[in-house]
Amino acid sequence: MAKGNDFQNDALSAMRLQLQAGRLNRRDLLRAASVLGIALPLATSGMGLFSRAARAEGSVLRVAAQADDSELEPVSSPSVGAVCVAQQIAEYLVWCDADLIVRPMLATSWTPAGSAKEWDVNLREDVLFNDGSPLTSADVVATFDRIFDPQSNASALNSLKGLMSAGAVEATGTHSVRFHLDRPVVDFAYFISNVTYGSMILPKGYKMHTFAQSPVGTGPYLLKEYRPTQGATLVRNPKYWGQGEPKFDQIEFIYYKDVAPQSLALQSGEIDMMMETPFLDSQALLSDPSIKFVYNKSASYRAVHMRTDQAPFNDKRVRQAIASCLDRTAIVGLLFGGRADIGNDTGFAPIYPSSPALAPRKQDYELAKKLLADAGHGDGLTVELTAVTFQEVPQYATILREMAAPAGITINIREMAFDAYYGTGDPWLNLPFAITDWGPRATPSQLLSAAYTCNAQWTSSHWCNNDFDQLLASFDAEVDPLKRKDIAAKMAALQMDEVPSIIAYFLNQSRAMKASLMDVGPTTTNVLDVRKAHFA
Amino acid sequence: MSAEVASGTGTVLPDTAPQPGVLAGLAISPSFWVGVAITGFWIAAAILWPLLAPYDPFKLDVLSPLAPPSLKHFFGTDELGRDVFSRVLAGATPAMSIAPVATLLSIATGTTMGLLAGYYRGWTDALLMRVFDAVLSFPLVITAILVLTTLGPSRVNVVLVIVILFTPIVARTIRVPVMAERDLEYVAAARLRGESAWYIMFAEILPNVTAVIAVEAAVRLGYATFAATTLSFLGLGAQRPSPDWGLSIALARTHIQVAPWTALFPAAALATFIVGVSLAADAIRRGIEE
Amino acid sequence: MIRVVLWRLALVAGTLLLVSIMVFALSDVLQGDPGRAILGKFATAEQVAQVDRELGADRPLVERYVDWAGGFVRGDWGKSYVMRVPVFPLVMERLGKSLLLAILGILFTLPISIALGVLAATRRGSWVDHTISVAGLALVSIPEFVSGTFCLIVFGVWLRWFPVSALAPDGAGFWDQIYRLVLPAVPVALLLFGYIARMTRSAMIEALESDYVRTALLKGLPGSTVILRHALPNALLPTISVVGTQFGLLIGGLVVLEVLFNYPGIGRLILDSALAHDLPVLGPAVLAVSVVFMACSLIADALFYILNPRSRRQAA
Repeated sequence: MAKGNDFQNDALSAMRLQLQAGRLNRRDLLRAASVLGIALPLATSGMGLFSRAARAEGSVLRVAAQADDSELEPVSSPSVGAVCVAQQIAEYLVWCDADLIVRPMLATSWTPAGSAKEWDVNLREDVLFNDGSPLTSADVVATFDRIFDPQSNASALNSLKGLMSAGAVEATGTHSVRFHLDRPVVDFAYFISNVTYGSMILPKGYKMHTFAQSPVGTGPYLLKEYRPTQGATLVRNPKYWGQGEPKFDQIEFIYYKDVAPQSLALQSGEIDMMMETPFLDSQALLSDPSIKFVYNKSASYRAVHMRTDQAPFNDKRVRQAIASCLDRTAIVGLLFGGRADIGNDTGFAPIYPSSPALAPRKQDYELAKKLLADAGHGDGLTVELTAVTFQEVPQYATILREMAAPAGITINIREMAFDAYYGTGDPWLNLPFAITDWGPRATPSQLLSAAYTCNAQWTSSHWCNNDFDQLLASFDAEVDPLKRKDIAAKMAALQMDEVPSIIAYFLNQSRAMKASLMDVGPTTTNVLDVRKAHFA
Repeated sequence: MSAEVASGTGTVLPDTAPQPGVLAGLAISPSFWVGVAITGFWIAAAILWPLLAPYDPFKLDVLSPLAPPSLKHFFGTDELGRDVFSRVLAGATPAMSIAPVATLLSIATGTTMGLLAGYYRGWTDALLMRVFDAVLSFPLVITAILVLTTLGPSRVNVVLVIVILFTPIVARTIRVPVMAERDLEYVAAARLRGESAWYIMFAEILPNVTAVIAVEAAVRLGYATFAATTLSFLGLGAQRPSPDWGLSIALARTHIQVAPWTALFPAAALATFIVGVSLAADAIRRGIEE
Repeated sequence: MIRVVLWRLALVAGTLLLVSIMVFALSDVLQGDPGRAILGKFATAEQVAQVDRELGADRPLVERYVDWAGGFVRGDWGKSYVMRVPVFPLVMERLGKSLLLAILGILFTLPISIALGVLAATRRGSWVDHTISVAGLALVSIPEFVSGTFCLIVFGVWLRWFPVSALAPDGAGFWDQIYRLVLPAVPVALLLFGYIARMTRSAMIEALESDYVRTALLKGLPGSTVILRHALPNALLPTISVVGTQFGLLIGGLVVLEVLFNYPGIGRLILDSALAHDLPVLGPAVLAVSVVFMACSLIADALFYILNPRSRRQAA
């Protein structure tokens, strides 16, 4: 890809100019180039960091993951426990690393055809599914058709809906496809990467809900056994296309209901790594020299949503009042020992290159009281806050309760089990005031379109603002990073004023593992790449 | 809660009123006084904690989460920087309110059922006993889980669940002496006088089985605390930010390695209170039986 | 004799019927719309209605109960909403896991509790007796999550004698699994200790005061022989009956320890499926626990009857 097409070249020269003018840093340039399918010399340097360790015969990697009683179904399951197993068996077109630079996986290239509305994607030609059949464009077409089949209940819809529709993927050759998007989206590559975790490529004949019985994919491992709520055993795929990969002969996934037993098991050597290590529940690991932590900044966050269509939260002053009660620095200190980015109630996480610099929202009880009084709650307000039993969310609820009290707001906390909160009746989308855990998204557009547009699939705050939606569309179509920043600033201001959800912080994802475990791929989401992992 | 079932099989007690000398016997029983002292201490804490606690038990402290015990914080602090000593003292209130209320209510309903079953016998007795068998044919904790996930966790519902579970146990215990009393002359005499069944049950028989009821109440109190804290531990009882001991232990479990004090002190409080109540109850029981 | 057995069995059947009605009623209350629960929120109203028809969820309550109970008896327990695996093997597997833990706990506690119970009875009124009875009382009152937490810290984390997770990895042998269950079995043993020891003590005292023991002692038999050969077998009768009942209730009652030690037993299955509103699992799992309890108490009764010389004499 030394020579790009006109669209790429225009974008690239615009970015180079800004780089020279000092308005764009090198990392931002790399990111922006990689999503446009432009391989700059530096973009692949991350791969060179990995050592060329030899494969050890009979080696086993034991990974602890959160169990949430979910089915092993790559298309529809939203659970980390199921997704991280499926990811070893099936693969994505594009791989996105923690630095938000996208790299080829099953796709060798992605090129905008004319505008960012049409994208040509070429596939590797040497890839076989583990049942022996070759990977072709038909499998890619079938995968995306499956996602848009209403019967599938596909998890990928939450990031792809509004971006493309059923039948958007067309086979243009045995190993090439074209994506016809609904609107121009510059960040398209992220949407077909692991960031859309339900977009892994499955063979065209795949039938939903049969993955545990016939686990067919192109990935580095084969499923040997899956035990619902308990774990999974995977063995190395001897015919994997990656050279000298994977290093481990076997992966053992062990599901845990809680974090505490995972930490104990890591300390006692029963497991080698945890998928995710929340700060509050793993204090003992921090002081253990045989254990190391890998941190990644992320756009993962907690939304304290307030239903904008129901009293008392239909009055934006009430929402602003609660947001004004929070001392965000204290929250981040208590919940993460400071290891998190402060949020300002907008989806523009500090990790996104386009995010505007914002003056943080301050704790201001006088303002909160005035807003409440103006809204007719001068003599106090009592509300029930539902907190899902997940990581630090219940503690966060406790802090909110204490911080809101001085303003005359009484918050009663109701804790709800994970499976019930996201289960029958979708309490998480219907409760008036609740805290939801959101996994990271690689682009602000993915984050915002999942929950804050009028037709968002998961709009728990039921907020609808047409100006905001229009700004988002123009943001997606804008190539110039500086112009994107301007649009982003307008959107952030809108969100901060309206406060459909309180977003007090963005998490640093942390993963505890044995100090001797090397080269576990960095990822931005709760995904696992162990193709190059090995023990020192 | 599995120990609870032990007494669920029904302790058969003598159907006699307290003998003179029971109180004298209690007065010299050391375990009774130890039990009363411990229980008394926690009752005092439950009422007086706002005066005794050095800190607000709900106050967050960003600067010192998980601080070890020191002169500043006798029992250290928890994950949100709250003073564990103050929380342990304040935790006496939920322990001291839920269990006694649940015990009183269970004794009331259980005694009524026991009187009915023992007095009417026959079909009434058979039907009640079958229903009670059904309720008691699972581990109590399972029944509690089922009821609380249906109704949702709340203080009122925890009391309700304990009443549902303890009523059959109390009824079975009360029923035996009631059956014996019913055959005595004074009951026959009352019936000849034309007294109503309710009058005979509550005005004639009840006063003669008070000893059994008193012992049962003392024993139930310990088990009610056991049950309520177990439900809190499972997340079905008290909710954050309650300083409830069972809840505190459950929440402290995650960082027990680095901050054992967060679990140790609520656990010790809970253990001493329950053992105190049990010691006193056992002494009362022995005093009446012997 | 036969009448007694038949009556007992009829009682069990009646109780089971009641239990099943209660469980069914409860899950009917908990249940929203089963079609919606299976299809999720993206399904249309027609799709949901169709699934409801297929499941028969639109029929009258009594009809559904008869169907459900019949399915339970036949072993046709349906599929989990959440895990999408058949319920029958799932419940059986978890039941087996809890059974193993309960057996281990009982095995730990029986010899010590009986020995100390006998010791207390023979030293009645001494400081040994008092110590055993106060210790028993204290242990019986302390919730298992308290004792379990301390076991976990001391033996799992500080001393590292035992692994902290009770579930053995795949391919681990039977003895490895037993080894991992030692730690969670200790709180079970502690909880039962006080109860069994006190039971043995009072039964033993009764036996020691009985005429045949006095006669044996008067005949000049040595004290230890009298205790072991004459008094103990009689004193163990109530203990056996108690252990039977306790064992039945332990299965499923272990949920607190199963949560604490991350051990997937039947109690935790019930807790998890209740919290997640996974009703196809909840109903059968609860009923299974109840069936096990009744079977255990029946066996305990039978043992009591067979071993009790008095009841044998009456039957003859």
